[in-house]
Amino acid sequence: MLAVEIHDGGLVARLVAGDDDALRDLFDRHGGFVLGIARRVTGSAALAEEVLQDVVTALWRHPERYDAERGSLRAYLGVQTHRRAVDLVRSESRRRSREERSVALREPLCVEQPAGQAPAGALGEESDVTAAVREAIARLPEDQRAAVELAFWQGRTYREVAVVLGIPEGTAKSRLRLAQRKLHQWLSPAVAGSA
Amino acid sequence: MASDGVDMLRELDFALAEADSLSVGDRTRSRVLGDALAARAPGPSSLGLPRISGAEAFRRAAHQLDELLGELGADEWQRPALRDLDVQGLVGHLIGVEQAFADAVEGIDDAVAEADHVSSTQPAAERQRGVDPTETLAAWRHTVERSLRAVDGADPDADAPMFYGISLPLDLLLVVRAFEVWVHHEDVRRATGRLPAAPDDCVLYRMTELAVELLPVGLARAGLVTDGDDRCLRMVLTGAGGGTWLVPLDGSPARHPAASGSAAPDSGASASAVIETVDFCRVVGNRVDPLSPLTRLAGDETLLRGLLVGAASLALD
Repeated sequence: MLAVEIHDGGLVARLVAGDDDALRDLFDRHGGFVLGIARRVTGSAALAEEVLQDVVTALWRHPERYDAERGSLRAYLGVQTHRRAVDLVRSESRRRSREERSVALREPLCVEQPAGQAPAGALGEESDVTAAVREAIARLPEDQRAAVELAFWQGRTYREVAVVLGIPEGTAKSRLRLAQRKLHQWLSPAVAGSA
Repeated sequence: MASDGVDMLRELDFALAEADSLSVGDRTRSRVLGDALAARAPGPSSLGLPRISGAEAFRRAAHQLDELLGELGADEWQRPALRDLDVQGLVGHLIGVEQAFADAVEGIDDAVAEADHVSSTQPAAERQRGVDPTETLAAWRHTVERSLRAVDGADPDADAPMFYGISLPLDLLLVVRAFEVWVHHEDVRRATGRLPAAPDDCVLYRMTELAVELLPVGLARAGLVTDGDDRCLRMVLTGAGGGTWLVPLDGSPARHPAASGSAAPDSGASASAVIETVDFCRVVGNRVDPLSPLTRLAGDETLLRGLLVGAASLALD
């Protein structure tokens, strides 16, 4: 019914208010993102759908647990998805005694902050990491940088990036993927130094 | 958006992971949404506030106003507040309402049953002119204590005496009283250059419930009720004390949405309004223009505007 919320805060406020249309908006905006991460970590379409179910239901039941001060809704969902997917793979791995499952765990998708661990800022390291991120983004070719800035700074989906830049969705995806590879390569020392 | 450090890298990683999104089929969408809605029914807020009694809501609202009046400087009592009343006169109006309420509940005087809320309290308001503000404050406190004593131990579900043309169970009538006290609390804040202040969350919850319950009356006043009209309007009230309701256009009571229909692109309401709960209460209290941009609307805006204008007409002032 309502146009998709650009700002996560408005969408989450509606979820808190028990608005089932907001749940549908959430799903249509972030469902594919959650499924993509879940599939990548679990390597299984069935397990990925289970993760999608768990993550969407958990947010719908307790949307007030999301704290906009701590990051975007997308990152929150990403962390929850990754955590749930890893848990599921581990439990499957134990159940089936399949060692190969653990391979996925050695390549975490992102820099996840373990529960209870102080944020990097509390350790006094954030300025170095921040500077490294800014510098890395600045080094990207113009077309990739424009896509990354929209996705990162403005929280746009790749579909929205495509619309804003006036390019096909596939092109937006490939620019983001290329940028992702470069940034991972360049930022590895910064990530290692901040962990 | 996180600003620094590891959080920033995490944001970046997930922003880029967006490109790996997968499409979700209709069957999966329907199953996931259906299971989620089975785990938490739509409608009530997830904040799960306790439901306090009408008497407690009134006590808390009165306490909030009491605290504000206690901090006013001598000159602030003379600031213009509402109609031709200064702050002191407005408190005098509240003293008059409170006396009438206690008289009605105690069965002393039912003259207030059909009286006009403003004109009948004008003498009480004018009696405060020239009085030391500390005496006005003491009189206000005395009348509040009397009201609380009068309802102590009374059956909250029993019909209260008719009050300014309102006929409600005592519990709900006390929520009406809490509502009025809070509205005038904000009038005093506005008059003395203070920022608006929401009521206690639990009080807001009761006020919101009451206002939603009265929405069909507002809808009828706006001339929007039609027998047999099966359409409805969706009200999403965000923040503490909020929730989601469907207001049928046939004049039947507002209700929470059903958990069915999860596969549909949306719930099928003719129009939706999203508004902060406290702003909704300001609209119902006739303190915020129902046509102001505080409300986000989708669908048939004429119907929604009519509903909000009708809601504002319910205010006692």
